[in-house]
Amino acid sequence: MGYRNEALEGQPRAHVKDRWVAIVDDHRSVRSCLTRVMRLEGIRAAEFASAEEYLDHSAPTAPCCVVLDVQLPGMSGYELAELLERERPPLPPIIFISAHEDLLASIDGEGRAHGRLRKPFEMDALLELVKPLL
Amino acid sequence: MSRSPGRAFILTTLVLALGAWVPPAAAQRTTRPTRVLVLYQQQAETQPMLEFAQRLRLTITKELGSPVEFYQETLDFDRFTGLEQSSPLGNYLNDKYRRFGIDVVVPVGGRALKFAVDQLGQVLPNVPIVFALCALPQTDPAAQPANVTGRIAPASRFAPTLEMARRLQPNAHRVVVVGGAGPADSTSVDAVLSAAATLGDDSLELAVLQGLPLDELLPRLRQIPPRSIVVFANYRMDGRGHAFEPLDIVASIAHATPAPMYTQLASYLGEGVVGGSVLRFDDEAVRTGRLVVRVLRRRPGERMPPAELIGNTFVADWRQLRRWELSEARLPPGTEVLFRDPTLWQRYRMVVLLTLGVMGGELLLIGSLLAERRRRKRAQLLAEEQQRRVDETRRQVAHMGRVALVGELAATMSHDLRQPLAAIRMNAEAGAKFVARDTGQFSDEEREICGEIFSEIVADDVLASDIITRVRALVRREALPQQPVDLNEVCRTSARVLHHDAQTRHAEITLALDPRLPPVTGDPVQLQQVVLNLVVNALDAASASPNPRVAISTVARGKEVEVAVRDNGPGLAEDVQNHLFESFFTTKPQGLGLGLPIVQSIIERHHGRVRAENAAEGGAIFRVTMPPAAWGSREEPSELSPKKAEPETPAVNEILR
Repeated sequence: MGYRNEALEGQPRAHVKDRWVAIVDDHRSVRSCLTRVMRLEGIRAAEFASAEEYLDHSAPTAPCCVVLDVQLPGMSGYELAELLERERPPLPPIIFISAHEDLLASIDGEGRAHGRLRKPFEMDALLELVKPLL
Repeated sequence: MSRSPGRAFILTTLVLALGAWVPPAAAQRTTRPTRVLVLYQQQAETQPMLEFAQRLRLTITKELGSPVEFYQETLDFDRFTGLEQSSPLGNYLNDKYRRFGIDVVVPVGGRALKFAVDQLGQVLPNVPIVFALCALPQTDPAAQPANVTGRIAPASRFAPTLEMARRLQPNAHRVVVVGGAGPADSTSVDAVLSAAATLGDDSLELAVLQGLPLDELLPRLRQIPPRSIVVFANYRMDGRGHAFEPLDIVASIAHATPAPMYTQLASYLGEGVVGGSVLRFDDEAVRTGRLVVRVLRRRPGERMPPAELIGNTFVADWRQLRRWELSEARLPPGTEVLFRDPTLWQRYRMVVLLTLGVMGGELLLIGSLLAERRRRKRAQLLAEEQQRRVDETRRQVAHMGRVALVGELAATMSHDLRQPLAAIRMNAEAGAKFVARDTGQFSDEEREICGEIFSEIVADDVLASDIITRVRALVRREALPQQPVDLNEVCRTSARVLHHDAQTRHAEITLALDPRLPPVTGDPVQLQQVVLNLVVNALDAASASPNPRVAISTVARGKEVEVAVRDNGPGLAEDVQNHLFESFFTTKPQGLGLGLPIVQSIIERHHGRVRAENAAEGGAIFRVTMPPAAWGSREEPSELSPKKAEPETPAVNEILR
């Protein structure tokens, strides 16, 4: 199931070639699955196993979107979003994903979530959220 | 006093026997024993004299407190008349006792005293003499030498004896005096008559039956009118010149007399006489013995104590008082009543006492056995009850442990499996997408098969997800009992349940409980599970210490109730501290890694928190804080919906800090 943040729509689009999607999930098979789906759609994607790994990345541009697992070892996805907003503004659109409904529900109303997906979700639901951000 | 025929050689025998006996030990002693020579005027083997001799010896021995030797001579002057003035007997005794130093001579009887003073003066010139059983006027104490003292009886006891009779028989109007024909008998009869005269009672008619032979006397006695006082003066000889031992006939005289008979001789008591003022031999023996001791203990040069006058001793025969229906209350004050028919108590006192004693002993034994039995039973019941409660707690905790374990396993599994199941499903769906997009590489049939494979994976995945979702819902729906729980009691129970475990590990569990601790609301069994779990962990940790200690404490702190379990083990390493409350994380070889997650799960359902920290002085402290009952009861109902739970990651982080 997908959620849309209408406020983020209609932002100026950069070149598709520069656009990339960050996938942050500690579950390897979830990561590779999502990367494959993106690649199939012609979207560049980079995988990160933890929040700390994401913070260490050296990409020259910010991702156009972060698919972020809420529950991560160490720093949680929620904390990562807070930290990015505070220390590396502007905050890129975040799509929170989690296997746990209650975790997703608790991050409502913060304005940081471009969308929320409960695993397992339909690939089309993700692509629907990602494609407008490219 | 008394005379009996026969036994002519008794003196000789005694003398020979005494002569043959030389005390062997006496010669060797440096301080020789005190030597007492007793001279009996009459034969010494009559019952009253034997008793006198025995009591005299006993009194002197006991009261002197040092060794005493007794020597005894029976003079028997009544039968061996004429020996009283015999110098051969005196010489013989002088020879005999010259080798011994005699310390005191005790003549018994007036003629024995006279013999001692007259005949033994040569060998025992200044030896003190203490006489016994002497009477006025035959013995005049004032006429004795300076080394003589003793106890002297009044001339006649008939006056007080008659007084006693008058008291007992105030209605009597006649006094009958019975006496023999001998000279001593006449003296006694005269004494009675003069005593009667001193009564000064003119209403009393005096009659004398004197000198009659016994066979004539008895019929005459039977004619005496009932309201008479009969006085037995003495009867040593009858009118025909036959000598009698009065003791032998007094009973038949008393039996024949239809009125109460009185006498002044103690030895006639018990023979049918009512009583009288008498000389008590037993009493006199003791008093004479004491006088002897006083004489022996004189300081050098001290004078002999003066002679003592023997007082009145009234004696009555209880049986005769009954026989004549005489009132005991009328007896002179201080009268000794003899032959009192013993009451059941007196007669069977020993038997009764023994029986009572045995019965009492048995009762006591039975009582104490019963009490012991009851006490043991009670203690046993108490122990059983305690054991039962401990067992019950163990059982409940074990059951709860299993239930919680299953629940926690289910929760953990359903939580942890959700992630991989989601991944499987997403991958399967993505795979289906790829296959569907394929252009030409797969045949239609292959595409179809791959599509079926992926959709079956997805279908099974959905099925598995549904199952764990249902399990999770089932576990979460368990109701939490709502009742006040005293955490102090929970701590005490934990200490009790683990007492044995602690002992086997030589560990000490101490309790420091806040007496003002308010109760909390929840499930006592689950909370018991929490504290037990923490204490078991603490015991495990402390066992690394040479002196294992676990301290359980409670404290009411603001709006919180805290239970702290502290050990003196190695403390928590940092990496351990970060994973303490994760499922399947354990530092124990046999551990499941579910204890602390269960603790956390239970405490969170009770709206509390659990934290672990290292104590500054070493060891670990686990603190459980909960709201007290009043606070907790305002909170949400016990059943926790998934929405109710805080986000799990922040919660864990908070707990771990």
